[in-house]
Amino acid sequence: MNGRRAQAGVLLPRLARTLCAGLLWACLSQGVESAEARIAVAANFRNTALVIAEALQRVSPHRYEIIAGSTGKLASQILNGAPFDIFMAADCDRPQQLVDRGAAVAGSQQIYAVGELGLWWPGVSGTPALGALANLEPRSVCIANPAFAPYGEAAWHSLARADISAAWREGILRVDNINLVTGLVAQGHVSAGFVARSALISGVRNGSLKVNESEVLWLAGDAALDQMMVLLTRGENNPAAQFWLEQMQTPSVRELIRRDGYRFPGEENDA
Amino acid sequence: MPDDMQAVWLTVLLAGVTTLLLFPIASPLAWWLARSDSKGRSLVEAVVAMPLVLPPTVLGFYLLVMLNPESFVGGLWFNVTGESLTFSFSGLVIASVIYSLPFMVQPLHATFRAVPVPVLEAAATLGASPRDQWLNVVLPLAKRGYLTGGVLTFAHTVGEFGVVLMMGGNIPGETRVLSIAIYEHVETLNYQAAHSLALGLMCFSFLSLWLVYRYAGHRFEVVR
Repeated sequence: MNGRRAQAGVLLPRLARTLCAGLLWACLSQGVESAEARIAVAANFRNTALVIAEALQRVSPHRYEIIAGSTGKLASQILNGAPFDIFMAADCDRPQQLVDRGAAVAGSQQIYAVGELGLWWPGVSGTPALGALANLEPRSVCIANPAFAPYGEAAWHSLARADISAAWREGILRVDNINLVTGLVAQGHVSAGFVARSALISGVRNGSLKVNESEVLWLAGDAALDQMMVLLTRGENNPAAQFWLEQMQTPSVRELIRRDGYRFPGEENDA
Repeated sequence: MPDDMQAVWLTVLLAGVTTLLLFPIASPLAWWLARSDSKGRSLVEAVVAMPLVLPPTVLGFYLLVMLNPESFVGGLWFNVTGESLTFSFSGLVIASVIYSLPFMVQPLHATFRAVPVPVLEAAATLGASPRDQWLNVVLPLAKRGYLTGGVLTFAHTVGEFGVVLMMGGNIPGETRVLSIAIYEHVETLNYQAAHSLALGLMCFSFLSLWLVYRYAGHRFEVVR
């Protein structure tokens, strides 16, 4: 008898939750046409975008596919006909270029997050300093390729500002995107790397990374990255894409973004 | 993991479609190469073999340029279907057919060359039309070439990476094939999933080659 009561005690709240979710879905989706949208996101925003997609799929009839890559590569793919509906870049230049070239809808640009770059140097004694990097072999320091990754470009400029010689900088290890940098540092393949705050936060949260805060030098003032999204011409009449754009401004979605270490324009960093 | 199963299915589908398309495309080409005395033969042989030595990025780049919606071919396709050839499954099939062409043509070429002319002449004297000769004499004798070509083409398409990355990107259910899924798992630190897929591909590649050496190497002789 007690077992049955206990079972009912577990099942009833679960049932109530399911019913509430069902009702909410039914209310929100009433009269809403279900659609699918492909969202191309900068590598640093991949995990956050997956969480947002899951949340939006729960409260709408729409389906979302997240395609991640470096900002420059995704922009090039879009210009070559890639079937994406929304582009969430790690900079403002590429979305603007797409608008200028007719691949994105003018006026749909919005900054959806402000990312932050950090120098992660595990095992360093004391707080990491940019200038001290020059004591390492350039090959043991890793950045995302500045040619197509905005976080890599910001890292490159930070190194230049720290008066590190051009010859040393030329020898630095460049990889495809910012997520790969995090992996290479975490696996010990390189001594230090320029990483996104969001990658460290989500990595620590899901248990794939162990990061000591004192091993990271945050470059907030020097290298805050305004990340812009834009509606692509292919997604202009796609209700799922429109819904995604609208939801980006809602408090619940902004909270998901903030939880992963991003800020919003005009906000001070509390780190 | 459901995404990975989708990648497995997509890869098998791509490799299967490519292999099936290459049988009828490569057969006449390989037959002509085996039988022709034309001066242009070596030129055609070189063109067919080029994907063996070209970096996949070169092929991927030219396909990207030739098939994008702004180009003639890509624009034509876009006007008819409303979809882009680049970053689509159809585009990957075209790329794979070109990229795997030598893996089908070369085994067939070798097999066709080994078909003795007197056997064909004897069939002709017995009243077999060219079609009959092809279906009843050449095809049974060329089993080994077809098996080798089929297995190698399938296996090579399964292992494609560079070309897919250049002109297919990473779209689930459309262009996210196994090699791309492994790359993405490594990028996102999901080494366990990368291990599972990579080990699966290793076993598959080994089995494919073992099949070729075990059966095509001995059992199917061109002429017994």
